[in-house]
Amino acid sequence: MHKNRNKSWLSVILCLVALNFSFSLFAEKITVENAKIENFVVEDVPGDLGSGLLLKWKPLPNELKILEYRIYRGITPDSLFYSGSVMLNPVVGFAGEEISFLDSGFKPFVDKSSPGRLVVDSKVKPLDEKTFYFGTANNGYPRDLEVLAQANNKFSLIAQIEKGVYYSRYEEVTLDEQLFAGYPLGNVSVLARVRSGVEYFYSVVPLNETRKYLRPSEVVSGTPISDPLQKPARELYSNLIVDGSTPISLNFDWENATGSYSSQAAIYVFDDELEVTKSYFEATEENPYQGKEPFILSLDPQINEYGKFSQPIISENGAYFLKNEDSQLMIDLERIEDYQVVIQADNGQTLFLKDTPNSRYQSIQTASLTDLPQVPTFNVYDVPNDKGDTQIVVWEKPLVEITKTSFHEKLGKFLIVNYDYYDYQAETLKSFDLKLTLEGQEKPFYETDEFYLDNVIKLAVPDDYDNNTITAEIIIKTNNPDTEPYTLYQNLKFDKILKALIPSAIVKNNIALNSFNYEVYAKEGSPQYVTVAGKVVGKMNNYSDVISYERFLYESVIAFDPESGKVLVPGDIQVWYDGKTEKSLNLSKFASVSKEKIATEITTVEEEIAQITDPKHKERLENYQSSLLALQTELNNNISNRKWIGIVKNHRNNSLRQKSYKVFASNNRGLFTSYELPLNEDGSYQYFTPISNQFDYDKLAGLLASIIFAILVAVYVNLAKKGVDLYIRPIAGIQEIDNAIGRATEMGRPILFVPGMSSIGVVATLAALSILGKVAKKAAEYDTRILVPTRDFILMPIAQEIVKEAHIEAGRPDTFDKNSVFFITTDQFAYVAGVNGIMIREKTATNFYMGSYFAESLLMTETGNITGAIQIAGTDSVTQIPFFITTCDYTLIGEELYAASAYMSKEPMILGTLKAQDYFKFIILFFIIVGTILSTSKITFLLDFFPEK
Amino acid sequence: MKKNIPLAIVIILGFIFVGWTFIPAKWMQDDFYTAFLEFTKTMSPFAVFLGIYSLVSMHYNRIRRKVPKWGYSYVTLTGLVVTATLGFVYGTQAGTPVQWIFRNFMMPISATMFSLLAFYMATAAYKSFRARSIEATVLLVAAIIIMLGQVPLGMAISRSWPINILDISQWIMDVPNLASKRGILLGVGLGSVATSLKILLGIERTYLGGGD
Repeated sequence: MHKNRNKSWLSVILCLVALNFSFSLFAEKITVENAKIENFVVEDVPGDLGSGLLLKWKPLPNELKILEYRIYRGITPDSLFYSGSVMLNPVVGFAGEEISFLDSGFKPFVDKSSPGRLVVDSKVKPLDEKTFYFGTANNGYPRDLEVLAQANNKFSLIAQIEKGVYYSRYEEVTLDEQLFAGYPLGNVSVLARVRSGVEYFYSVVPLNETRKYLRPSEVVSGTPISDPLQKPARELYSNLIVDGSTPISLNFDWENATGSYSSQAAIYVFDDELEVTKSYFEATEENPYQGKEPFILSLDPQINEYGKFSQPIISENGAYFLKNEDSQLMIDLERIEDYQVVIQADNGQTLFLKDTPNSRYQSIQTASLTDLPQVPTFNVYDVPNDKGDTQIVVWEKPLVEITKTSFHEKLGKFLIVNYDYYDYQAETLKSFDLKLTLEGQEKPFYETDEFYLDNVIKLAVPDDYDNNTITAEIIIKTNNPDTEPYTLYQNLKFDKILKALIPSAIVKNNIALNSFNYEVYAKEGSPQYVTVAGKVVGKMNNYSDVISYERFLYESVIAFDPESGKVLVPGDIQVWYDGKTEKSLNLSKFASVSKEKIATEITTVEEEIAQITDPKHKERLENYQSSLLALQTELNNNISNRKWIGIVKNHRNNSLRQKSYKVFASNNRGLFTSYELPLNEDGSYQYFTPISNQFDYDKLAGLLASIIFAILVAVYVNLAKKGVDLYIRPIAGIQEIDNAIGRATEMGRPILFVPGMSSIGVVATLAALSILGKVAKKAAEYDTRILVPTRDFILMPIAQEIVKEAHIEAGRPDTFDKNSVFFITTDQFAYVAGVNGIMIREKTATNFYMGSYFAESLLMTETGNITGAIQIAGTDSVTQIPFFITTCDYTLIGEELYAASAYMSKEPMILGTLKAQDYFKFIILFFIIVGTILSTSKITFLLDFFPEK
Repeated sequence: MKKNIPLAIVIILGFIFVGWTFIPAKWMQDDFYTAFLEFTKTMSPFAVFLGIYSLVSMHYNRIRRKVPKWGYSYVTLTGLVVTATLGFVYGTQAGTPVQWIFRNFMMPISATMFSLLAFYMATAAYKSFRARSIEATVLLVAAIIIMLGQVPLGMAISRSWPINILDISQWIMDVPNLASKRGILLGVGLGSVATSLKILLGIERTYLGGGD
């Protein structure tokens, strides 16, 4: 019975195996010819305001070794243009079930690399005769305005125009009675993004590893839908700030949800239970709201940028109110934690409430004014020695932080303390005292004055140390004589797992600096502040703001206009931004239109001045008006468009690179303080523009050294010219060059000269070429062949000329063979193979290796060694010197390479430079000795004078 | 004239590039320097042509003269023609024949050449470390310490020693080695400044095509 049951199981399994085998036998095998893309869909990306489409399809089997999926897109189903691709590694393949391609954001559409005419991608075999695939390997649309005009209004288009072209290559073009600036298509790069409401057609074409095009997918369409994703904030903290017992303000601190495109529209404060609060938003006419009216704070986008707002509390007749034009709410300080705070997104429907899942909410907490983070007044500095594209906002004095510690337990127990410091040129860290005290003791066991800031301190640990906590007291001294030394503290606590002392946060004035962050906001070209640096950690004391020079300007494309042959962009341009009045002047690229616009602007300003009572504001507006009038005078002189755009360019360069700043210090939990720079005397904001510096003072020492060296060279060249005998110490490698050439002559074999692996731009290569000249001349005199294989094709003709001249100078032009100086390859190891082959085939008697070398040096010299050639090397590549010394007969080390040609020529001019070089070394030696003595005596001015790198 | 004009160009442009080092202003860094840098790109196509011409000419002559092992020149020329033709016809993107040749010929051959380095290093080390003199013995000892400092075996050996071998190894690298390296670099720096100065002042003219 039992046996029979086993047999039946066996037969079932066998049947299943047979069935599976027969299925696989008859199942259609997917090949390059019949492979078909399945499940291809095009979907709208939710919540992206209609700016993208998501393409998804099932990947083809990995056996097909797919290299690329090319995406073709069109605005009609019959004409599809290449628009991007998904690259795969054909060896690894694709592991997932679905491949996706996001057609979102601005991507290259047409530029100068695009084909000049419509190109059918003939490698694609369309599924039907009506569909055409256009494009080349990397481009889709051609530079053909007739074709491009079909894309007008079908895509969001942006022209990226190089600055020089932007101000010089445009022409007036009228379209539908409107004036536009027209640029030649060849001068602009156009970027495109899909547009909401437009239907797009897509097809995916796979390519295998041999770039064979497989069958394209079906053409599928999709339409981006303008659907803003509106989410309420995901964090909301509220704090009642009190001064003693007097409430000052109610602070709100929120963070927008990730990926949310919405703005937060309002904050509501309710004096009700949560359920009653909810009913406010659910109220209808039939079922009206029954609770107390809330305080409603409307937010504007500018404030929303910060995610922070401070609402003052008003005191009236002993009661406290939240009050504005729309609403008011009395505050009961006793019950403040029971109040409900709600933040609402701008579609009016999404709310952040206390019980919103996956979010953080803090009921109103009471905090004292002294709990608010403090920021000293910040300053803005231009970064010195730069081209004028960076300025730095500094809000804190220099800080030192112990970052890491480690024990070292050989020959006694040592503690290695690594530290970092944060300072800025305006006030730099001069030195600091470090005092380390064991927990429970009063007297520090270690004290030092760290005057050379090398980021590490090594100290001996007391014998009785038993992993106790250590308190580090860091007393900072800055280069500002007005700044009194101030103290920072850190605790170093022993960690059993890491077996190291772990430093705590820096504490300054009893506040841990990591308990809050800074946020920097700036405004530029408009009165709105925008974030330039979010959440700079508390220990950082500055933020470098890069204000790049305009290299490209971006304009929305109005149309591709085949009639004028131009790409049309708006004629308007922002001419300047007046920081005093916070007014932006927008005129036109065309003088005639600007004339009308400026007249209107002047009238508007005049009207504004008439209404203003504040004398300072009035004065600022009058100054602005004067500037406008000056501009109007220029425009009234019938200036050409070219001259006008020159004026615009200057104004933009000067006014659009100025910035004003604001800094927030915040604990990100509703305790924050914002700081703005004090206003100018005329009541306007302070604006700063980075300065383009004319000299790099960090390189002053280098310049002075070069001048001194040049003077020494001049002096010794003159002495040499006058016939003064300049003794140069003998260098064996150079003296042996003659013998080595003689050896080759005697043996009747050629000389090999390798001029290094670097290009002509490297000084060592130039030095090698100088030596080549001398060696080639000697070789020519002895009638010995010289072979010069080169790796750099620019070097080759120069080396050829040098060898040719050497033969002429030696009086043997007939023996020069152009083919003896030749190019092998730029590839490092292929070049080595070539050179080694020459050594073996030609049996070279003497090999010279001069110039820069890398990993290949040993491969060449060992081969030369095996062939028995005498070898002389000279290099400045420090890492290769040991290899040359080991395998070559003579080696010119470092500077000897540069001295070699002078040695060989014995010409006074060149010998003079060699002598100057030697004396300059004495100067360097002098500074090394003096610098060492001074630094040891804690005098660091000399050390500071020389640049570190 | 043949040398004076190029010399004048070198001197003028040389001083411009000296200016570029010390003047960080935008007019120098972006407007001027970038514009000049564009000029240098124009040289490359001509030089590539000369390089290819040189290669073809040399190997053609080798074949013509039937010099020993001239057959290899056929291989070189065939490689040049085939690779260039395939590149022009099919492009150089991933999946093209040029990439196939690169992956299946160039890469393994280059790797083979590079791997030879290990054997050459061993023979070079053997030559250097033979204790023939006091200096060579010092070198040998230092090398052994450095090698032991780099491997776990060294750590294991020195565990019971009063001082860690890694520390000695590090000390050799950080003090005597670094000192001599800096000495060489100092000389190299000065030498390269001197050579540059010689070129800038027109004292050194070999690069102009021979002679002094």
